[in-house]
Amino acid sequence: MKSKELKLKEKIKVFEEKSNLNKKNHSPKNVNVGIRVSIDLISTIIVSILIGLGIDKIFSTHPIFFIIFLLLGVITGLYNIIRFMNKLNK
Amino acid sequence: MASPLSQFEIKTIVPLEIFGYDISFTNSSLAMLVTVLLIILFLSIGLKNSSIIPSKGQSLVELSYEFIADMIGDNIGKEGMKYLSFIFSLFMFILLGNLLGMLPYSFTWTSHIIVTFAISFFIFILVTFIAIAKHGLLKFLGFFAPSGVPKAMLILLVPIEVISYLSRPVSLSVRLFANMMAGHTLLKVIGGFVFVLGANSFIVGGALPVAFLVALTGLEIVIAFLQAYVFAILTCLYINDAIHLH
Repeated sequence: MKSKELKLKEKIKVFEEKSNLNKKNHSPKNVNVGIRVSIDLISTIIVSILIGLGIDKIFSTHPIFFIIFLLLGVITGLYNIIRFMNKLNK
Repeated sequence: MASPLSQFEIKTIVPLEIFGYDISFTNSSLAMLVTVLLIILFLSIGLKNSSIIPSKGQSLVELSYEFIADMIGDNIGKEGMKYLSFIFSLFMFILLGNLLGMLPYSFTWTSHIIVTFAISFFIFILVTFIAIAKHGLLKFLGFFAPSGVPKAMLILLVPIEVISYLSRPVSLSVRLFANMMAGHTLLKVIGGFVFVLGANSFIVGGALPVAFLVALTGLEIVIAFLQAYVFAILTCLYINDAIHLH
């Protein structure tokens, strides 16, 4: 009697694992990763360029802050992608 | 033939002007109004004769409610339940707006950057406000300086965190807008192929692009769901960041 119960429990466990596996593969989170990451990269660069141009306009130091913030934006975008991918692979 | 981009044109229906600002009632506002009416209709019909054993409409309403409640439970936790009404209405508004755009001759208001940017900028301000109200200004500023990092690295890390915080509303709005606009433009371009190929080649005709169009329409509907989902889940993540500053 008990061995039967144990077998059933094992079967349930295997089934649950399988269904969890299916859920993970089909979750909409993973479908959109490419678009999400690329738009994140572009938008950080655009925002940082705008900040740089704004500071340049206020202090009239045209190319300096533009260049600094462009580089910072690229670094930020790549850093965010790395952080996001690390979180995803966990 | 009309340009594939002419579907996004704003047309004034009722011209209005207050203090020199043009606040005309346009086809975009009409589409938003129809979206809100559709949501009210969907919810009120679904919950009209609510019983323990749900009818078809009621189970649809309950399904969408539980979908959002689960999303909040997974991403924020119990403290997030008070934002349920906000995220639920946001999700329904964007979802029905996207789906409404799939009807022929209708207007997709989510394909305008200013609309999505206004929504996401409101979320940005709300999230910042929640964080400051909950933890105080000093702790909120501490969010930009990750703990356990050597002091020399902070010179680089603080600007990185500030820029990624400021770019949130932009990436949130651009994602929705770009997906919707690209998809609808593509549909119109392929639709143009149907006409041109159907008129010029007698063997295959417009059958091939029509088949492609059918598949693309299905994909567009999936994207409509997916983008509303992504918008809602990112709002959840931002509120989560604001509640549990790490």
